[in-house]
Amino acid sequence: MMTVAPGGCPDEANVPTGAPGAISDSETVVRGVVLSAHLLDQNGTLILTPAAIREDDLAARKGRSVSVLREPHTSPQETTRRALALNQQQEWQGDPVVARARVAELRKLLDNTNSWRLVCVNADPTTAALDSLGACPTHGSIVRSDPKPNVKDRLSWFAARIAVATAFNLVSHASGGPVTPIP
Amino acid sequence: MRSIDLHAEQDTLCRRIHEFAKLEAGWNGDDSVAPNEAVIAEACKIVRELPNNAQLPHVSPSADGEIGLSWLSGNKRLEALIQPEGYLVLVRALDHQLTPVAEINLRERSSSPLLEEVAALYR
Repeated sequence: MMTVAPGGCPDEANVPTGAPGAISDSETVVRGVVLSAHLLDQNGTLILTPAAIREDDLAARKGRSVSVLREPHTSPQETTRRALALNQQQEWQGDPVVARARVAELRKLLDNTNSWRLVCVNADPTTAALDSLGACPTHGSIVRSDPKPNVKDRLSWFAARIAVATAFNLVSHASGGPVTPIP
Repeated sequence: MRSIDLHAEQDTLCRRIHEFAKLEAGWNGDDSVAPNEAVIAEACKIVRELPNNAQLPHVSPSADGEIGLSWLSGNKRLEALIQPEGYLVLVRALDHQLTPVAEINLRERSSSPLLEEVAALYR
């Protein structure tokens, strides 16, 4: 486990029941892209827009988190099935779009003090009781590290959403094909 | 010609922003909602008031009824977020370094700081 700065991420080393292990820096995590509008072309590289990352999820409010699948442990079929369930873009019905981030890159993100980790990346298997798509042992969660900013600190939360969204800079169709954003 | 083209592009973008209102409840997870009329109106107002030298933004709806607006110019980037609670939040980026700029209560102030930031981005 590589940590470039201290951060309040006490759960990163935990291995919850059913998980294949703690999430290592060498893994990539993947999430389905809901709309083409959630993709931004940054000088030729597609990234997620901050609107694709929900503040409540990043803040871990109401038991939520920014949901990801651990790519080395998740079958391509399962990734595609879950991405299809989220997809709202009609043109992608046959082949949904996914965005990947390197865990090491997410763990290198720093908060506005430049000395404290911005987010934690935790193994977080889901159960059939709580996951409408069925139990997922390879589910992971990205959440803001502790201490979290005050809920009214809109600037800090928005900056965190931008940083996390920008780290999802490997975008493709689930089949592996390149994506052309839809105007 | 530029102003005629610009007005046509603004109209097209505003139509796209209005399409966000059609997103169904639950479109992006539990209790997700579409942007409301006030958020959509504010986004269109910003688009129509942009300085002539500016590119139109990339627009993006969030699950919480927000609309994000993104401008890119070389290694510079400006991100704005219109929230249903009536706030406009601005963050600037140079390469990967983020700088919080302003949080504006739109019930008390106009969005002019955003327009100034956009103008500066293309200067």
